[in-house]
Amino acid sequence: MIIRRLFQLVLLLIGISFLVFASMHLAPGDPASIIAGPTASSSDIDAIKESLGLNKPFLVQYWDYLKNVLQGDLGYSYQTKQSVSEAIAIRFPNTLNLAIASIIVAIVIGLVAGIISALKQNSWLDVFSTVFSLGGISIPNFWLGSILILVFAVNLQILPVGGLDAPFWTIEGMQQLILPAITLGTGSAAMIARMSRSSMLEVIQADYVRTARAKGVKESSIIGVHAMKNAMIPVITVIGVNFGGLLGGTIITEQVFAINGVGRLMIDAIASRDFPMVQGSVLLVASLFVLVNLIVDIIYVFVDPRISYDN
Amino acid sequence: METVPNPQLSPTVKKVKKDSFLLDTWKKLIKNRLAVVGLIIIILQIVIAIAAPLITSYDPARQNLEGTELPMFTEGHWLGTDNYGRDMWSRIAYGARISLVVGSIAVALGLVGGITLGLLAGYYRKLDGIIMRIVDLLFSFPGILLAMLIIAVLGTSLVNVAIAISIWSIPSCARIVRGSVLSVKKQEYVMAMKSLGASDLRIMFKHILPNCTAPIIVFATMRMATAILSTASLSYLGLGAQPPTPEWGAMISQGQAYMWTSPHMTIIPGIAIMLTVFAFNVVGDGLRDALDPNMKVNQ
Repeated sequence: MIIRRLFQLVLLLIGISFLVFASMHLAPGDPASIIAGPTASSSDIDAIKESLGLNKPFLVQYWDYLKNVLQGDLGYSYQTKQSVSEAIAIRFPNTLNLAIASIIVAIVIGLVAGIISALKQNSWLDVFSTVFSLGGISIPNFWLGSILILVFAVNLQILPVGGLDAPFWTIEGMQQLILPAITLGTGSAAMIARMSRSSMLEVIQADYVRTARAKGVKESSIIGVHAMKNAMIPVITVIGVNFGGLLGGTIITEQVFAINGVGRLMIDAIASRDFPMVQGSVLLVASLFVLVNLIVDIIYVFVDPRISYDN
Repeated sequence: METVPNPQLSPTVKKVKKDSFLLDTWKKLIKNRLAVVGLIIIILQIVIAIAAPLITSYDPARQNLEGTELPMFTEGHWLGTDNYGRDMWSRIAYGARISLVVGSIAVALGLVGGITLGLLAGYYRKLDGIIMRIVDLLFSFPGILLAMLIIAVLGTSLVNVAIAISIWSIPSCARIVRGSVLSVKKQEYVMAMKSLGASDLRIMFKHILPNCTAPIIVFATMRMATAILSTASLSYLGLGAQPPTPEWGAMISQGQAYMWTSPHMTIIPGIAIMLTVFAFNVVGDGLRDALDPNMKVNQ
């Protein structure tokens, strides 16, 4: 099963790279004249076209690009002439830190809120957590980020306004991560809370939970062992899907908190029509996303033996 | 022989006469309190969007450099003014127009694309493989990334944002429609239409599509929420509406620079976005509950 999924993953990655390459090719504007600048003569432009292989047929260009990508060469920026792989490599750790910190925030808040509201159904805690999960999905995260900055950085002055330059294991690094992680994690926390609430509610009404109660099993181990194990199956999918989504979400959060990550790189590149940079960063984020999804699928099989991808 | 009238028979026969599909859905929807709140917000927003010139006293782009950054509840500007002295209430009201129009266009285009692909994939086995692989490919871009890639190609503008969001909506819509088509296709009445010699197009649009309406309506409502949020996000990033367009996301981005002195410039448009997205989400939720055929069986 894993081998077949890996084969599908390779096909999907080729598809993604083709789609990204083709869209950049479709974009108006001639790369050679962008690189050469407004004052260049037509012979200069021709020379650049020749050196970049832009005269070759489209599929040949794609093939060359694919070969380079496999060797870790994503091309050079039109704007800064910097290597795209290097530019991404410098910023990627920040993006990954942010995504991981956010999913941790999301899982902790989401599970606690979801499980408590399922166990105390219709209590004020349940109402509060339902309101939170509805609000969390509707809140624009760039706005939430701004409000958090306003409250914690501007008014209370206990956390930094933005930036992410200290390593995450230092206190300064953690302080810098808190607000962005809450900003990005809230939407996912809301979805995890909703999912774990409904799946927990379903499970605690099941026969085997009643049997466990009848046997006299302690309430804490009924919830912790019997119920949790089964309630977590759908929750894991939601977490997996959300982690992928968080990778996309970092783009906006990085902008709010002025974090020097891949997302900001991408936005600047789109605004300045720096196609190799757009291509490289989109390719990276999309590939990571499908990879995470594959890992989630594999974990799923281990958690729930009933699922099998063999047939 | 005298026939004894059954007193219970006639009223039950009358009761069996069912409400129409729409009325039935509506009745269930308004029992859901959150959905009613959502509906009221949406209606209010539509009214504000349509009546914007009547309910505001200033042009949303008119600058007044003598009255900049006025706080809320200032005389004549109940929501204050921004850093150019533009009336915040006018900008919010005209912004409602942009959100609703861009959102509706994006969702409508996405539905056209998604329904067409979904019908084709579900109906023709030969097309299924290739269409669903394309859908899988589009699904491999997380969140807003696909929309950003499309904007990178088309350039930054509100129209392109609508196009980008619509393309981004196609894969999920196609999947939903395909699923419903697959379950409806095997029904006897479709077989009957086929044997009567109805054309494929006629079967698809007149006989299969109406049976997929429920999931499509729920999808469209939920998608409005996503579309409005994404329009705001993209404009916030500077990839959508350009100044001086009174778009909510762009307003937040502009307000951030003045957060220290005039937080209302950031807070007000955010609340507008949140209320709108919340409204479409809860109405979508309510519709799903109202339209779910499984619930009908339970009742």
